[in-house]
Amino acid sequence: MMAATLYKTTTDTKSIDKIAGAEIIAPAVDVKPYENVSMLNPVFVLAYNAAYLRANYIYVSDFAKWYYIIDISVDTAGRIFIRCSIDVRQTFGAAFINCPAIITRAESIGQPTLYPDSQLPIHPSKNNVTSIVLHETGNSFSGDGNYCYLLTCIGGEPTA
Amino acid sequence: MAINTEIYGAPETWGTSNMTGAGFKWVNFNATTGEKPRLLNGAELDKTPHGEIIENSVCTQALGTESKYCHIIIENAGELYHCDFDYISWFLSESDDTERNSQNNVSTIQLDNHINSWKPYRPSTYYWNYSDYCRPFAEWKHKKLLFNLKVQLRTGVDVVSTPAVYSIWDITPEILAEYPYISFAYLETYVDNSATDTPNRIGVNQYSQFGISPNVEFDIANIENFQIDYACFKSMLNNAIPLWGMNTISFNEGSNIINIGLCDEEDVHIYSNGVVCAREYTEDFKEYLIQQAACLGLFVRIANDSEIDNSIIPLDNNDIILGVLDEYETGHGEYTRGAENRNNKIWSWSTNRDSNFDPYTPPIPTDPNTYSDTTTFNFIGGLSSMFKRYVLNAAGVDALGQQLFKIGDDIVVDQSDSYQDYQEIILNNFLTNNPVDAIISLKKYPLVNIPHADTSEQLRLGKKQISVVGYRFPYTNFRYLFGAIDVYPRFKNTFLDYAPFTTLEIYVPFCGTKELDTGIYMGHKLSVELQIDFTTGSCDAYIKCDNLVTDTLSGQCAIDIPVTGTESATVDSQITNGIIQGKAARGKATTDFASANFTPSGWVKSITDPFAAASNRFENKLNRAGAEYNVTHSQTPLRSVGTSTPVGGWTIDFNCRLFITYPTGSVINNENPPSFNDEELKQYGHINGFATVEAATMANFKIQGAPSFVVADSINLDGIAATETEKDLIRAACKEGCYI
Repeated sequence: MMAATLYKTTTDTKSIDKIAGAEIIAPAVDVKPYENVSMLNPVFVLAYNAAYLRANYIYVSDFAKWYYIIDISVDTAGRIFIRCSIDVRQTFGAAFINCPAIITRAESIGQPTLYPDSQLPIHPSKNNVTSIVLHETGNSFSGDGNYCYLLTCIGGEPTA
Repeated sequence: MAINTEIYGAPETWGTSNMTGAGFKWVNFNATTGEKPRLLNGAELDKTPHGEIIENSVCTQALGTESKYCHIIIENAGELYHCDFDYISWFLSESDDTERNSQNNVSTIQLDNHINSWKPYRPSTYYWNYSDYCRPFAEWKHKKLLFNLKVQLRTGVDVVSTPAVYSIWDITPEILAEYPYISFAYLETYVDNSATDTPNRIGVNQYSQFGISPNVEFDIANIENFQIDYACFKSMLNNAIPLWGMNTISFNEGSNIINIGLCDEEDVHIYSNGVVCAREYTEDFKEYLIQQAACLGLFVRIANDSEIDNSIIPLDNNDIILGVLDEYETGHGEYTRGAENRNNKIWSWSTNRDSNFDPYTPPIPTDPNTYSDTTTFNFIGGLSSMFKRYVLNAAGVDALGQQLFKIGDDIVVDQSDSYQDYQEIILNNFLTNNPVDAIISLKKYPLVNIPHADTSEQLRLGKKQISVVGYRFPYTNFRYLFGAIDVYPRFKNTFLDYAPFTTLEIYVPFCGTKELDTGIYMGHKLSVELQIDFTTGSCDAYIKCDNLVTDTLSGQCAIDIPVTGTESATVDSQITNGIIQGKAARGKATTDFASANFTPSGWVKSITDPFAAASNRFENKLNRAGAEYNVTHSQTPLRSVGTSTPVGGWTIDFNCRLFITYPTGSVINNENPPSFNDEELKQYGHINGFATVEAATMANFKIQGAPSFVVADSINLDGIAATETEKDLIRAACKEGCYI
C-alpha cells in the first residue's frame, strides 16, 4: 500500500506549481500499483469513492513524484483505476529552473530582449512618429538677422 | 627559441650518454596506409662538450603556403599522394656508420667547427639504410652557411635526355638553347670554413649531407612517439636541398621506392627507372626558384655580378639574397638582397635559437589596429589673403548699392584742371576698372550675426574707399552646435527599440533629412554640429554618436545676392570721347574744361561751350549738335555680379530634429516589473513569451508575483536526481515552455 494525495487543479499543464490554488480531493489515499507499474506512467488501484472521480492530479509520496491523471476507470468490483503520467515540471521544476540554460523565449521584458520576434502582433499601421528638438545652443540662426551679409571683394591695399 | 617541455620533456629527463647500438630504427612511411615513419625507442640525449643542456628546439620557422614544401606529392607504385607541411627542421645526414659511435669523425668535426659549436643533437633518425643516420641540428649558425641555387637542365623532357648542372647565374642563352628543359632545382650547401677561408661544400670528401625535413617532431621525453611526417629529402645529388623536381628515395629493407616531388601535379612524369619531370626553363621560373629558396630563410647566391671569390664573398654582397620571415616566423618567398640583408632580422641571429618560432604554440594573431572613439576637427586658415570680406547689415548693403551707381558724384573737376588731371582723378578712384569688378560676391547667411572683428571700417573696393561701413571677417569656417540628446530606448532596450520597429531620422536645417541606424545611436548621446563654409556658402552637418562622427549631411545655407553697378570705365571713355569731339569742333588746341563739375550737364557744357566760341558756321553747328546728342544720349552701361539662389531652405524650421517612428500600442510602462500597456501584447507574452537568446537560468526570467512563461532551448541538468528518461522529459518540457 502506498499513500497518495489526490488533487483537482485547473492550472496550465506547463506550470511548475499546480498546487497553489488546487483543491485537495483526498489528502491521504491508499493506492496500490496495478500489476507491474513504472514510475513514469503508473496505474494505481484504489477503493471506490465517488469523490475521487473528480481528481485530475496525484502525488504519490512513496515515489515522491507528481502525476497527471490521464484516465480514470471503474470496474464492476468497485475499484477505481487511475492511469497516470509523470509531471516532471512539478516534480523537478524547483530544481531545474536554477540550472544553466539557453533561454529563447520569456514573458519578462525587463531583460535585454534584443532578438526580433517575427510572431509579435505589431502592425506597421500602428506606428507613430514623434520628434526631439536639438536646440541650437547659441540661438544663432535667423531668417532675418542683423549683420548677416558677407561681402567678399578683391584683396590688396592701395599704394596711395 | 623557447624550450617546449611538453614536446621535449623536462631537461632533467635528458640523458647524457651518446646513442650506441643499432637497436634503433624507424617504421617507414607507408604510402598505402598513410602510416607515418616513426622512431622507435633507444635514443638518448647529449649535451654540449661544455656540459650545457642542449635547447632542443629545432624548428626555426613555419612555411607559408607559397612554399612548395607545403604541397609535396608522393608517388608510390604509380599512385600519387599529397602531403602538406607547415614548418621545417634542419638535419644532418650521415652515411658513415661509425660516426654515431665516434666523437671525432673528421667529416663531422669539420662541419661542427663551422656550423655549430658541438655535435649535432641526437637522437638520430634511422634513414636510408642501416648505415645512414639523420640527426637534427639543435643549433646552427645561419651566417656559416651559404647556398648556391643550381639547376639540372636537360636536352629533352624524358629520362634519357642528357643532363647538365649549372648555377642559375651561369646559364646563358647558348646553354638554354642546348639544354632547354629543367628537371631539378636545388640548393647546394657551402660551409664557411673559417680555418682555411675556403667555403667547403658539404658532401665533398665527406659523407655528410645537408637536408631538410618538414614537420619533424622531436619529443625527447616520449621518444617512441618521435615522428617524422615525411622522410627527409636526400636527392640523387649530394648535399642538395631540393626546390623543384622529383627525387627518388629508396628506403631500407629492399626496394621500397618512393618518389618525392616538389613539382606541380601536371608536371609529374613517372618513368620505370626513376622519375624525371622536366619543364621549360624560363626567366620567370628562375625567379620562382629564388622565391622558393627565400621561403626557407637562407642566404642564397643568385648572381655572379662580382669577381669576388666564393671564399670571401660577404653576405651583404649584391649576389646574395636572404629570405624574409614575417612576424610569425613564416617564409612567403620574399627576400632582401645585398646591403638590404643587413636589415633582415635573420641577419641579427647568431644561431637558429634566435628564432621565436615554436611549432606547438603557434603565435596568436593580434589585432594590429588602433581604435579611436573621437573625431577631431581641423582649423583651416590661409584662405583669406587674396580677398577682403566685410560683414554688413541691411542698411550697409543698401548703401553699397547706391555707391555702385554713384559715378562722378564724388569727383570734382575744376575749370583749371587739365585733361591729364581729370584722368588721374579717375585712375585714383577706380583703378580704371569698374568698381563692381572689385566685388566677388555678396551672400546673406541665416544667422543673427556673422562673427566679425570688433571694430568697423569703411569698405574699400579696389583702390576706392567708399563711405559704407562694415566689419572685417577673419574666418574661413565656423561650427555651430545644435546640442545633444540621449536617444533613450523607450522599450527598455528590447528589439522594439531597433529597426524595423523603431526608426530614427535626423533633420538638419539647410541639409535635409537622413535615416540613422538605430543600432548605432540607441542608448547613446546624439549631437549635431553644423559647419558653415563662409567661402562658398555651403554647410556640412556632422552627426555624432557620443564623440564620434558617424553620419554627415551637406547642404547650402547662404543666399547669393546679385550686385549691380555702373561700368564706370565705359562711361569714362564715353565722356572723354565727347570732350575730344567738342574740342575738335571748336578747333581749340587746349584741353581745359569749361565745366564746373563732372555732371552730365557739366559734360554738355564742356563740349558745347567750345562750339559756342566757334564761328557760327553751319558746319560747326552740325558738329556741335552731333557731339551734344552723343554725349547726352549715352546709355550708362550696367553690370551685375553673382546670381540668385533659392531661399526655400530658409522657410522651414531652423531647429534640428530627431524623428522617431515607433510602434504604437507597444509602450512599456514603468511598473515593476515592466509590461506592455497593450493588452494584446501582454497576452501574447504570457502565452508565447518574447524572443531572446540568453545564457541564464529560467529563474532569472521570473516575474515576481505572477507565473512567468519561459522557454529554454537547451538546459544543463547536472545535479538533478532524475533518471535519464525523466531528464529527457524535462528537456522536452523546457523546450515547450514552463510557467515558473
